[in-house]
Order: sequence, then structure tokens, then C-alpha cells
Amino acid sequence: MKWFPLFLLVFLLSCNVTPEPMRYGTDLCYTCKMTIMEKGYASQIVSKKGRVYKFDDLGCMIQMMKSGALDRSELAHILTIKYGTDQDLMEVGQAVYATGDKIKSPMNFNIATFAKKEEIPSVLQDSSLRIYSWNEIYDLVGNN
Amino acid sequence: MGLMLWCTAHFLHAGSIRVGPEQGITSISGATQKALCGDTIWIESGLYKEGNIVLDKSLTLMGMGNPVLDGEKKYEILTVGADDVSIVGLTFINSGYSAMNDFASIKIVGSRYFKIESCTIRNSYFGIHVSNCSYGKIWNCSVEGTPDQEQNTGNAIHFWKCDHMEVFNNLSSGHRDGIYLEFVTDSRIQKNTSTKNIRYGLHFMFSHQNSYQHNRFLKNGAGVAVMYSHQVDMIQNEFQDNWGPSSFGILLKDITDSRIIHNKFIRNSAGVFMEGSNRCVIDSNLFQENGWALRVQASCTDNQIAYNNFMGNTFDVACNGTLVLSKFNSNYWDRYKGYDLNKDQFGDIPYNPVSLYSVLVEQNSAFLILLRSALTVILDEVEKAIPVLTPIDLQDLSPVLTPYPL
Repeated sequence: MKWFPLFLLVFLLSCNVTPEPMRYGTDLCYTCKMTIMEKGYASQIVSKKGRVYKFDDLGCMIQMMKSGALDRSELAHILTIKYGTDQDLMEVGQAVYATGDKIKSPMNFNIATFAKKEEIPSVLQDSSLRIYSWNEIYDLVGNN
Repeated sequence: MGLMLWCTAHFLHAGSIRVGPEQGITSISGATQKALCGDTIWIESGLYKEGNIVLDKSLTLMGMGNPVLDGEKKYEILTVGADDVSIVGLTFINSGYSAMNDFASIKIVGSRYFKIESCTIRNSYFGIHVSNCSYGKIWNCSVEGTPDQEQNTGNAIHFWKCDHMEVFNNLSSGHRDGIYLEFVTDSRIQKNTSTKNIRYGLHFMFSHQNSYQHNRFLKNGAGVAVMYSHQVDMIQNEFQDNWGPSSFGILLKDITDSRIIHNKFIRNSAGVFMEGSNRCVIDSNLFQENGWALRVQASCTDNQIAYNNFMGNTFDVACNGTLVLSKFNSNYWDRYKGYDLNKDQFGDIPYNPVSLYSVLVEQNSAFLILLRSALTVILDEVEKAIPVLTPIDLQDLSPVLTPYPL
């Protein structure tokens, strides 16, 4: 019986719904099947059952959400990585999104994530820069 | 127009300038500033550390012996922004790395009729980076990176928004992707070898009407990925030793009206992985010793898979649904146990290449633990007699009994 706490621990660990770190060069994008290489554009969904779906491009995640393959009420976390970082995941609703000529993502959706507007580096700021909220960017990405 | 005429006139009696440690001109940038359109700059052996060299005139840079251009891990070495530029016989080492810019050893922007021939590139971020160009040639170049840089490496030969490119007899290794094409049309990729790249040997997206012939893709991280393109010809290529949990010979993702003919798929985790691909012809290929020869997802329709040899694969065909809208005929399957009583060279009973066990594995990969166990053999035999889970439509109605000489 002295092993019981260990069993309990294993049991608890097996159904946690925390995000997984991105393993660049190993993980596959769930939608486009490409190996995730580029830092700063990836995103992740964690379902309430603890299943993790990773994406190489925010657009791939939005496409998958729009495809109806997952029930929105089954999702625990919808996360996106902050531009210029490799593991800094944040909830999609709390972020702002930028598109522009200088932003080039793996699947050509070309969307970068920032915690707030002020964090957008000056090199990206030109006349082509557009800033969106999560709902706006979600509507913007086409179904195909 | 005046400048063009002047340039054209000058071509007729083009001058030449020599650069070298013992010459009057010791720097390449010095020579390019002096040179006129159409001139040839002969570069003698030596180490040239000149930061970023910008070429904005139609010139030929010709290496004599072994001139080495060093980017000192800080600079993009050569930036070309003119038409009719040739770069022959130079060695480029240590280009800079930047998270914001795609630094390359040779970057070509908006050029027509350029040629890069017999150049050697080592330890670059991007090797050769070509964007918005037409009618370019890259011949006999060798681009090798240091794989320990992991994700901080760019592509060996990278094209973006180009047309009429000719990529012939190059070697690329140790980069993110060996050859990368995005929005490239009407181009030919021939006789290249792409090996030990971290992600893909060849990777193209949104690139239509291209042909890939006689290339070899060996031991790349995840094989070759061809995505979102139509009218692609992949002929007589070799896909070998792409092993890994998410590896394949070719990933076909949303590819339509394309031909995959006379290729060799040997020892890959999956020979061909198809998703969302329609009206493709997979003809006269050799699938040998792969984990899965073909993985066809239910989203594929109207593909013709004929006259191929399937030999020594763990699974011949796997699919994730029971409805399969692709046609299989006249393939050679080494597992086929039929007979040919009427001697027409075709087996008299159809072959069903999807085993029940492969269906179970597709649904739950943990079943792989039962590989080669008696249980799976029994399951497969029962399923053959009374098919329930395997797609009955997926049949080769005319399997051949002897392999094709491929």
C-alpha cells in the first residue's frame, strides 16, 4: 500500500491538461503535417481530455477549429506563441495579432502574436502593418 | 532604354578586371564599382573578407583557383540585384545569421537570366536565396551546413516567387530544407542530391507546373514534402532511408493532377503519405522495405496506382477510412498468394492490400506492439474470409505474379 501515492501521482499526471512544450524539429503540425521548425509562429490546442494538438502556423490552428473536427466546448486551452519567443505560450483571447509585409510565417498566413500593441518591434512597423483582435483574426482566416 | 542600349553595346567589347592579393585591385567590391555592364571580374585565389558585397550591374564573377569569400558570421556575403549576372567557381563561408532577415551566402533579388555555377557554400544560414526572379540557373553547386545549429539554419537552396528556374546537379545537406520552393512555376529540378537535412530534402508549396527528375533524397529528417500544388511531375527520383515517427519518402498534401513515375522508395517509414490529393498517377514505382509503402488518407480521390512493385514492406497500404476512391491495378505485391490458371499473367483473384492489422494500427498505434505475432496473422486470415473493417473496394483486380523490371 506504500506505493499508493505513486499510483495516484501517475494517475493524476496521466490526465493533466497542461500545455506541452514545443519540440521544434520533431513535432508535426496537426493540419498541414509539416514538421514544426520556425519559432514564434506555432500554436497549440489542449483538449479537456489532455490531448495536445500542435500547429506550425496560427492559420493552421484556425483552419482546424473552423473545420468542425473539434467541439469548442471540449477545449481546455487555445494557445499561441509570442512572436520572437520559442516557448512563450499565451491564451489566444489575451493576445493581439499583427500582419504585415515583414511578417512571414511557415504556411503563409503571416500572422504574428503579441501580448500587447506596444510590444510590436519597430522593424515590423511600416504602412502595411495591421493589428487585429483574436475574434477578428479568427474571422479573417479562410476556410481553405 | 538608353542605359540598356549602352549596356548591350558594351557587351560586344566587354572588359575584364583581375582581383587578387597581388593585383592592383585587391577587393571584389572595388572591382565591381569600377566594372562596367558586361565585364568579367576574375578573382584569384585568396581569402576575401569584405562584409556585404552588392552587385547591381550585369557582371560575371569568375573564380580562378580557389577564392574564398568569408562572411565572418556577421554579413550576408553577396547580394545581387541585376539581370544577366553570372557567379562561377567561388567559395562562400560563414554567412551571418539574423532572426529578422534571411541572410544568405548568395542572395538574388528580382533578377532575370542569372547563373550560379560550380560554387561551394559552407556554414551558411541560407545558402542560395532567390526571390522574385525569372530564368535563373543553379548548376553544380555544393551547399553544406553544420547541422548542430538545429532550427537556426535556413534552407540550402531557397526560391520564393520565381519562374523558369533550372536547378541542376547540386548537393545540399545539413540545412533546414535541401531545396525549398514557394510560389515557383515552370521550373526544372534535376539530378540534385539532398541529404541529411534537418527537415525535408525537398519542400515545395504552391508551386505549379514543375518537374523533378533524377534527384536523390537520402536520410533527411522527414523526407520530401510536396504541398498545395498541381501539375507536378516527379520522375525517376530516389527516396531512401527517411526513418522516424513522422517521416516519409514523400508527403503529398493537397496535390492534384500530378505524376509520380519510375521512382524508388526504399527503407522509409512511409513511402508515400497522401492527404487531400486528387487525380494523381502513381505508376511504375518501386516500394521496397518501407514501414508503410502507401498511406492513403480518406480525403484522396481518383488516384491511379498501377504497375508498381511492392516488395518487403511491413504494410503495403494503410488508410484511415473504409471508403477509398483511388484505383489500384496491375501492381506486383509480394504478399499476393493467388494463382494464374488461365495464364494471362494476371492473378485470377483480386488482392486486398489493406490488412485488418494495418487498419487497427491506423486507429491506435499501440497495436504495433503485436507486429509479427500469431494473433495478427489469425485476425488477417479471418478478415480475408469475412471482411468487416477493411475497405472492400480497395482491391487490385489484376495483380501481376512477377515483379516488373524497375
